[in-house]
Amino acid sequence: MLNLKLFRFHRLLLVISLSVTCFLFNASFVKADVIAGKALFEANCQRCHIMGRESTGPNLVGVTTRGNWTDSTSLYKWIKNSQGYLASSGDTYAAELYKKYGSIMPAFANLSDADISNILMFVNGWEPPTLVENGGSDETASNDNTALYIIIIAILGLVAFILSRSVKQLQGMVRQKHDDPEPDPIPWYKKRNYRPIVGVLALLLFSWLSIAMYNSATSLGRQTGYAPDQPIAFSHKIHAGINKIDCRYCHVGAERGKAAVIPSLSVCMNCHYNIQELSENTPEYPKSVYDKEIKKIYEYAGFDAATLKYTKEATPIKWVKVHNLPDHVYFNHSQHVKVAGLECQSCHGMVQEMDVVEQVNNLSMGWCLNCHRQTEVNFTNGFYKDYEDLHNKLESGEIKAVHAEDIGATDCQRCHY
Amino acid sequence: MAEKKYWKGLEEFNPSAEFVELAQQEFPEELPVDMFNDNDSKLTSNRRDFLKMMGFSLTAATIAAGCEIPVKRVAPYVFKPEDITPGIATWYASSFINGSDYCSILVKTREGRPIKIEGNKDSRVTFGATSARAQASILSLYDTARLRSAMSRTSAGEYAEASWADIDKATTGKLTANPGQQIRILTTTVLSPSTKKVFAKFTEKYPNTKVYSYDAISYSGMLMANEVSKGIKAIPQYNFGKAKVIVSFEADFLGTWISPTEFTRGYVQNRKLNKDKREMSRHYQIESRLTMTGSNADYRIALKPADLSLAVLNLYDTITGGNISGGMKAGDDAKQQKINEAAEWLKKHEGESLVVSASNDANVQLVVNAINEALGNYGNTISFDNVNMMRQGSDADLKTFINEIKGKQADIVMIYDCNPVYDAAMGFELEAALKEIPLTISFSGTLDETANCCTFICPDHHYLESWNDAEPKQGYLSLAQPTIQNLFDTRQMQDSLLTWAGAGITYHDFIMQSWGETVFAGELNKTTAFNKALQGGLLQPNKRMLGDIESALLPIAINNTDSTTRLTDQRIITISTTVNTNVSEAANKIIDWAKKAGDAIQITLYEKITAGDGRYANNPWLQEMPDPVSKVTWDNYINVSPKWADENKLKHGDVVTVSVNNIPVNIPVAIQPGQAYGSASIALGYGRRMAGKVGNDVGVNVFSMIDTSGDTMNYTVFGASLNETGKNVQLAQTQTHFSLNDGLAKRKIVKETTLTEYKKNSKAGNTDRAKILESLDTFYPDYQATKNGFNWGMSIDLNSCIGCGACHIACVAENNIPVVGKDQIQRSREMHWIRIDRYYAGEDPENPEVVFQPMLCQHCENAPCENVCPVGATNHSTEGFNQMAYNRCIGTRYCANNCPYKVRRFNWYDYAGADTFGKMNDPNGTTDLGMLEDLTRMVLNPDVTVRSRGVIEKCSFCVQRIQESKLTAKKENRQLKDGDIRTACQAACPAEAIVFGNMFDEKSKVYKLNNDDRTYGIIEENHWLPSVLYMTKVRNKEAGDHVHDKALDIMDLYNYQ
Repeated sequence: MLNLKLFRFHRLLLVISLSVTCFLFNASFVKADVIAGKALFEANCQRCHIMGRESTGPNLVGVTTRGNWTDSTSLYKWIKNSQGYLASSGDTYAAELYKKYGSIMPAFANLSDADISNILMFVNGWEPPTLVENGGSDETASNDNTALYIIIIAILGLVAFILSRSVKQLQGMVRQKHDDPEPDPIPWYKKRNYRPIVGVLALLLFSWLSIAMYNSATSLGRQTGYAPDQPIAFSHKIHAGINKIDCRYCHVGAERGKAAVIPSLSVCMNCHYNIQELSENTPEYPKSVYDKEIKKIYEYAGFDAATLKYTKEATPIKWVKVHNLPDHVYFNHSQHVKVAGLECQSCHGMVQEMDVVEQVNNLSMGWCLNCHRQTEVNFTNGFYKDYEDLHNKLESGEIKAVHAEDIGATDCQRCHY
Repeated sequence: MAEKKYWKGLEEFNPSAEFVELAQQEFPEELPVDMFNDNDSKLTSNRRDFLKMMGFSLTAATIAAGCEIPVKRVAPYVFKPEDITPGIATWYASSFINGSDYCSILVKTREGRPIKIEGNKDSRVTFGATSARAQASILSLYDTARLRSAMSRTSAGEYAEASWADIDKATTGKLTANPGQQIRILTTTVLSPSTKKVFAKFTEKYPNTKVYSYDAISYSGMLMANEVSKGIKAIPQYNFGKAKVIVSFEADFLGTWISPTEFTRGYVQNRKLNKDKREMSRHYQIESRLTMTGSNADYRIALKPADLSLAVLNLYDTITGGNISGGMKAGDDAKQQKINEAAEWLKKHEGESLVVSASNDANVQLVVNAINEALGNYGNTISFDNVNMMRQGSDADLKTFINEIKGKQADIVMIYDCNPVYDAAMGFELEAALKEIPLTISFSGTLDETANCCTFICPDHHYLESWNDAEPKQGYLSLAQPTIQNLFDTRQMQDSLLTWAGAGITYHDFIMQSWGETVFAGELNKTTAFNKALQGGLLQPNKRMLGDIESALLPIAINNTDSTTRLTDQRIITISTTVNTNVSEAANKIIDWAKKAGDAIQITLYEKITAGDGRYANNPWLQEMPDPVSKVTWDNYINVSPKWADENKLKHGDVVTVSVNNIPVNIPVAIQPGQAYGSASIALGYGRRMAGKVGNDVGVNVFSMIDTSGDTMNYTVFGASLNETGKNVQLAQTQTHFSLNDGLAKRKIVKETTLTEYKKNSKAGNTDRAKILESLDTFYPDYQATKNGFNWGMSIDLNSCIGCGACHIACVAENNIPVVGKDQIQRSREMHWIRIDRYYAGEDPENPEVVFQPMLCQHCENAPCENVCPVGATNHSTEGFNQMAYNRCIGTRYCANNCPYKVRRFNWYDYAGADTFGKMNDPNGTTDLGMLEDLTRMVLNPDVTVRSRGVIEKCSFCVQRIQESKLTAKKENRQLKDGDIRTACQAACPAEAIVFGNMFDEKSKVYKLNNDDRTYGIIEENHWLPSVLYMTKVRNKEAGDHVHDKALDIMDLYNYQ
């Protein structure tokens, strides 16, 4: 009986494991091409073709069933050299496509037939992703119970106060009843024995107040940790971190001028013309929320995502400025990024890991000067040839490196004019 | 050798006890402590009030400080224009065209708004130089008086906004209503050939149109004389660079005469000296008022205006041996002797000399032409090859126009770029008459005096918003392009005319078409050629644009007798080779006129650099710029000679009533050394009624004094009467503000010599320097700069500086220097970082020598100001700057007190509107000048801090420019080149008197100049080691004429020993 049960159990296990193995094997076998195809698609096609909808180029779903593309040789020719194909084949369907989309598809001579086959396999096997709500709960609901605690503490405090008053009154009544003498009218802290303790405490309090005042005075106008909400919940982590977009792709001024420049709406639209929803690369983000954020760009740009046309007048996004320098200071990004070769992160922190940008350094003069004192200057730049004396000292080994301070980086008028 | 006496004003020449006392004080005014005196002041405060106020302030400050930092928002572009990156300047080549003022310029724009003007070095007319007016024109773009839209007059006589469509409909309706109606367009000189073509196009459509042009300050006499004697009604080219002897009859050719920026370059190049070039021109100036040009002359002869014309005849007689003066002599024997001397020099340099006159009397100009002809100057220093187009106006045109208006012979009148109601002698007649004309249209950008008489005002763009072209000299073409979209709903005059003419083309396309048909006729791709020209702003291949249009505005009389015919690009000009020989007829007319002078004071009306013909009245930068000679700001006044004033018991600032043609005018007296005895002069361009907040009622209008009885406007007035009013006003005169002569030591501030001496010894005038540097009287240690990087220095050549003030305004524009207003200037609180000290020299206040000396922070290596700052707000940088950290400054003003050069300025009020807590301004000061309005503040340079109340400021050597150039070099991985960095003053200087650079670089220009034999530092004996060094002034005088014999040093005046 027991054996039979055991046997059945084993058999079941075997069947299951076999079928699972087969399935896995089978699946992985199929997937090899599709995965390669997907990678190729992302590298070559995705800029213009988006699965499931029209974009710069047509929607590729069902591409092999349309027009002349049922014949795979023509399709392959087209992909490899569309212009040549247009000229030689006389294919009216292809000519129409060219007319409709207004631009010629670049030639992909580098793709082998096998590559194209893989891509097509991916395209044909593509299915619209099912909407997975991950952490899709409305984040705006507050988990913050501070108010409740405060109320409870306040009530308890009130109760304690009332109780202590009652106790005192009751004690007094008891004393009256028993004709006990009145307690010592001089409070303990006024007694001679306690004077040193009181003195020390007062001194400590004074010192603490002074330090606190000094600290709060110096931090006036400084906003380390400032991380305001923005009109669009733009995540630097998605853009610079996960998708590895170079900072300077959007902040074009950083290498060229004084201001790093907050990108214009047109820069956003360069990519978001096509990227209309949250990508699968970032499953940890709630798609419904972020898709709405992308839609906000379209609102500002006056862009109709369905027809891919700018239909309304665009309005600029009024971003909240996070890094505010104090008044009366001149700061030039290009000096630091282009000339000194500093990473953006050295001042702005790990922005690529921030969903909401936060100021990590206090941007105080002391902080600036620290760096100006310690930073070694790239003395090979032709500009520094004028510093003959320092070059001589470097050569003779008198100094090992030239620091920014040595060439006047701590002069008042480097930054204040 | 006895010291030459230098003095900045008569108050220094004959100092009173109070003046000496004030001059020794830290600031030349008493601290206003008496306002706290309870007895005679409404302000009664006591200890309790003080405590209350303090408590309140402390609480308020705490609350303000405790508030959260405000959220700052940034709105990036929606679609970023390709050529704009925030924080990086974009430059456009353009042309400054304002009336007959012209300059080829580069416009610096930041984030789309123009903030600074620089000269265009490629121009062969202005050579990269600018004038104070060109520099200041950027502020006019943001003038609060500018009209926001088109206006039309309501039945109540007020002006209401009107739409362009309505105006176009009404105007076109009126224009086409009746083909017989007469249309008149009145303009000032039009430099733009395409605009002339627009007029032609308009005339084609409406054939009854006549275009009249006049210049408010007229050169008609000269045009007429040239027409008679040369057969061409134009002003020739003058080459001051080639002339070895220059005789000028009151022509202020460095300041205001025809094309001063151009002439300055030539004049100064000729007079630059170094060890290898020890030759310079000799300049005689014969004049009644002390002009800026006269101040630069080697010999100056002061003559009354009537004598001035006789002097022309005397000069002619001496040169040709004729006798057209009929024995009439100008001035006394001493002056005659000088005139003869000038004649001799001219004769010695035949073909290399130049005689010019400012007179608007055609007869005088005829004689001047005859003199130049006799000297063989035509074809050498004077040329009609590429005539100067900057003055084309005709007085006859103006008179005809006014008569036609008065006679109601015109039905439609259009007024462009001129203001005849204000600036014509008969303006008041015009005012009433214009209102009687059925349709009058003004293209004025502001509601000025003339616009106020018109039916419609169709405001023109500012020139920085306009497309235009210009031909300042024939064949030298120049383009203007918009550097900002029009700020208001304005429209260019040319577009309006083209619309009304139904041309169906914008002015921009019209210019392209017009260029395509003429200068680019041979080009295959006309658009490319045009865009290329536009990029550089210039086209100077000697191609001419004016065809038939020329005859409309610049008629050319063909004189066939005894002439040679020359072929130019497009047309034939016939120029007579002989001068009309009938100079004696002209001479007789001159003599007749001079005889009318009588004994009354003779008044000359003149143009100032700062006010022009009144069109700059609403520009506070120019209003606040001290006049180069008198150093008076915010006013005009009647200049009289010291001796004459003394005889008539007039004091400086006494208000007198001047009556000419029974029109009385009240005006303060300014006692002006150098003004010829028995003569007086008053500046035109003041007393605007409708200029705007700034210019209204500044000074008085004297255009009505112009003598209109002759063929041309005569700016010399005979028969004026002067009556005292018993009032005295304080002129806002800066001449003795910030004086270096505070009597502490014997200081050699100006050094000069004569050419004769300089030829013998290149150290002439500066021989004492070696001794001074040997025996230093100082407690400062020896300063040894390690040759590391940069040590910025400057050289200023006193021989080149002409005192024009272009540097002054350039500095104001570059460094956000505030305007303080007349009241503050009277308290010696002007904020200018660079001032031009004007010293009179010699013992004769009736005709002193003059020296101009630009004075700015000297960036001393051992700076006395640095030692006394209690908070270290001013200290020394590693590159030799004396740096100023505004946000550290607490306003003790110790540094200003300790500065030997008096170049530090204190912000007594929040002049620039920098403070966070509201606008703490002087209630009578800048708020009235519109300088704090958002519109005006668009002119601020975003790279320079706007200083707040209570801090000291001073010249920074344009550190923002240095840093920018350094950064560019670093990005390009190269060394800085000499000349990469040009300070604002240096870049603006038309005389190239200022050179800036790295003193460590032995190849640099500044190093060479600062080691020249002529170089000296001011007050070097105290070893402050100034980084700004000066070069001695050399006058082309005979050694014996050098006035330095009477031994009296300015220091003796103060009795300090």
